[in-house]
Amino acid sequence: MSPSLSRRVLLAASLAFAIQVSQATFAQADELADITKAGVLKVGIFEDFPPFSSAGTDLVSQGYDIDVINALAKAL
Amino acid sequence: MIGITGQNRIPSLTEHKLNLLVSVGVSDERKKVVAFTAPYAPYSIDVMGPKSLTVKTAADLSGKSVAVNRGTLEDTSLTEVAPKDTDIQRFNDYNGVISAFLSGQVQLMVLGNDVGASVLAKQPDIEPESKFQLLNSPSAMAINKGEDALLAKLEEALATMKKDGTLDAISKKWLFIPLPPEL
Repeated sequence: MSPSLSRRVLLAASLAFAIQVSQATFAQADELADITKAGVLKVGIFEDFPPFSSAGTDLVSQGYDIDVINALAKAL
Repeated sequence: MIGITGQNRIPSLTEHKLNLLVSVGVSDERKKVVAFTAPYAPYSIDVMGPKSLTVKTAADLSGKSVAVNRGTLEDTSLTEVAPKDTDIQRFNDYNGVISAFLSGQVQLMVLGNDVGASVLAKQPDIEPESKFQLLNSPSAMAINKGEDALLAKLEEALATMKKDGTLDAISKKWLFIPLPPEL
């Protein structure tokens, strides 16, 4: 015996609701999508914490953290 | 990359001005506000000495001279564990500590691996090395809580960098030590 129409409607409605809820959650908290879309990853670094991050002689930041961030940015 | 100070960095993240923080010490207190990746960088306070000197534990500091920067976390960590007859010599800055050690005025010194790297970089003839650690607190990255997709992606990228030797090469380049196996 097939499920009654009302049951099928209810099932469809609850499925739709579940999808909406998950999409809402996704849109609220998905920095990865924002980062990928913008092509920008905003990372906070210390300016004077050698050898992890500090300004080199050319004033460009350098160090362990900078190398890790550059490698990460490629992977994302 | 955006320059930040210790005080404003966690608020900058939670207010979504930033996506990611690096060089964050993992603590239960911070876990309440941010999500952490696996650790990616060694951070430690080490008792350093010449290769020729055998020192493995705090008890071995007995009767030895040790230089440390006065009033720092290194100082309190050392004072806590050093035997009473350790000759602790306190200096007012890191240059004082390092030159006392390199000139042979003291046998050992206590430094964080950040400052320690500057000594290893000079490749002194006495071949300084870490004898044991007073503190081992590897740094992690922090992101906002609930960003599961970003966290998964970062974990995946870091795991790859550990596996393919990228992190080990970065550690040797900047800290002059291999990436510790526990990372």
